[in-house]
Amino acid sequence: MADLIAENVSIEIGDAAVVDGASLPLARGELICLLGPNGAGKTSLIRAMIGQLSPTTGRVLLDGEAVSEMPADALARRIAYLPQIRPLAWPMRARDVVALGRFAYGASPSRLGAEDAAAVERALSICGLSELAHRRVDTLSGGEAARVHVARALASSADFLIADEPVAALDPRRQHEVMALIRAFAKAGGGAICVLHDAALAARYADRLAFMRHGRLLAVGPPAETLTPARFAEVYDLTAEITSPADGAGATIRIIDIPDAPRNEAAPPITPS
Amino acid sequence: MKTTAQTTATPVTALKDARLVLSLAGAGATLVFAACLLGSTPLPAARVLAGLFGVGPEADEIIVQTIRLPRALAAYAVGAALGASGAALQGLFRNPLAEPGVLGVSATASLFSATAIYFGLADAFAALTPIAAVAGALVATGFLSLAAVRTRSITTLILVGVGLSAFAGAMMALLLNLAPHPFSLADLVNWSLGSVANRSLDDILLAGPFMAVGTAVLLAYGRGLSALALGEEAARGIGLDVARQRLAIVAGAGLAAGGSVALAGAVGFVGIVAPHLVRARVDHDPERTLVPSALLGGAILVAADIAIRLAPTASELKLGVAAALIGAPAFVLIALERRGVDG
Repeated sequence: MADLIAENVSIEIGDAAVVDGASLPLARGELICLLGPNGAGKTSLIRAMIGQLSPTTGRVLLDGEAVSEMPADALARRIAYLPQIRPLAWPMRARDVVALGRFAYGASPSRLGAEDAAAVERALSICGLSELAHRRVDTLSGGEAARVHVARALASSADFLIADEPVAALDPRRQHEVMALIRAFAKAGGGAICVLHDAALAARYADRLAFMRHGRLLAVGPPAETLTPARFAEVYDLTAEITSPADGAGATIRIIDIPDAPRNEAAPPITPS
Repeated sequence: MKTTAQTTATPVTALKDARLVLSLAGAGATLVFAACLLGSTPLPAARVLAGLFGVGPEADEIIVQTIRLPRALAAYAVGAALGASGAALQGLFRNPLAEPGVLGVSATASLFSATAIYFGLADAFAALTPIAAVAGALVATGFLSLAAVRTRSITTLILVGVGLSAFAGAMMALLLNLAPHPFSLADLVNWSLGSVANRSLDDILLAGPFMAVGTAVLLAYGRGLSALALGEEAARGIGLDVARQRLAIVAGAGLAAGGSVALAGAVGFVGIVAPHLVRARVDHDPERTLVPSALLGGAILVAADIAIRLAPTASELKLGVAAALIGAPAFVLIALERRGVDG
């Protein structure tokens, strides 16, 4: 049985339907990567799933209970949320930022109970941050800072993790590091949704891919079944060649053409090599 | 101290914070005592001490307990309320330049209380001055938090505060122009420049409860300020009721800053300087910034009040003028230090 379920969710902001009848069930133990172009409604859908945005119609259920009815702290103990990373207002220590993951339990960075402290240490260690815990976050690299935010989410001991572009602005190796952490979270029994822009990265780590465009969920399913050239064209307006290795892990995507793109004569043409 | 291995952060942090709080409180008490040594009648330290505890001659007791101590305590209370309000508003607005003075809260509060005085309402009912000041501060903080929801840009918000400040200043000038006789003119000047000269224990008792309740509210909601370091969206995600947090800080800062204006008029910049000096010593944790900022703010204003009495000026400088002389350059320096983060 799926445990965090978006049921026929529509969200209208003004006259515009940013999400249109999206249904997405997330089970414990699985990682769903949500793909789609800018403005597809990905962020609105996941914000509805964590109770920060009320659907105009439809509902979101967490183990059968409507998230819109749950108080913020109760919800935070069960769903961890990583919004697109923005700079912290203050250069706090890495450990203190991770400790904020225990906020919903009544803790704060300077007042951690034994259980809170243990959860913080565990999260720091999982994310390979134990040595950096005392450092100010403004002295960390982008990859380290991204791991601090993942650790903050893990420290909450929530069953679900919803992450909005957790690998934005990271180099390829740091992207894989962060995705591996989220993959491990799912393997340990957590349910995760990750908004990504790199379909190949998504195919490598996700159990299921969800494709979104114009507020609609076009397809949800295993990468091998859903990541096809036709879908790629439908979602991104790109002509691509997609090859999946025999073992089914990941995919190679080669962009062949950008139909109807504004042309710059000086730019090299995209040709299959 | 920072590089030592720590199994859990809390005990080390708590010890460090306790040491900081105790030394700041000690410095504050010492300064208050030092302020009691100053006055037109020279009194040696021993007689001041005896006067404080009511064991000396009655004349000493009257001088110390009804003249010198209230002035020092007023400066301390005002500084503490402003230090806490500054630290809390900075946490709420995620910007080290937010402060009751800069955001126009103090100016609006002093405009309201000056209006109460101008129309003779304060003569009819003494408590109206602090109530008017607090009302003005709440109007300003409430307006700012509405603007904050609307703009989302902190820079814009500070500009709104600057506008509010200018408007309140212009209204104040209008009152001055229309002042019926020179006596009320001097009174109004006092309000806009800020001073704790000639404050009595009654004045403190009138404004004190507003400052105390406001500061208590700010301390009670300190935890949420740490959460807001992540930004509002993530703070909500970790379980913070953002609307309630905003309301509490707006109300707490309004009460504390309004009370301080009722007691001393508009004294600027303490709310910026105190948290700025404290922050690095509490690992930039907004919650842990609150108490030390209040204690340091109190100590700074008592020190400034001592300085203006020792300064060889023909007529005594106003406390608010001294605070701005030190605080305004600090404000500019902090603004220049900010590294391109528009939060």
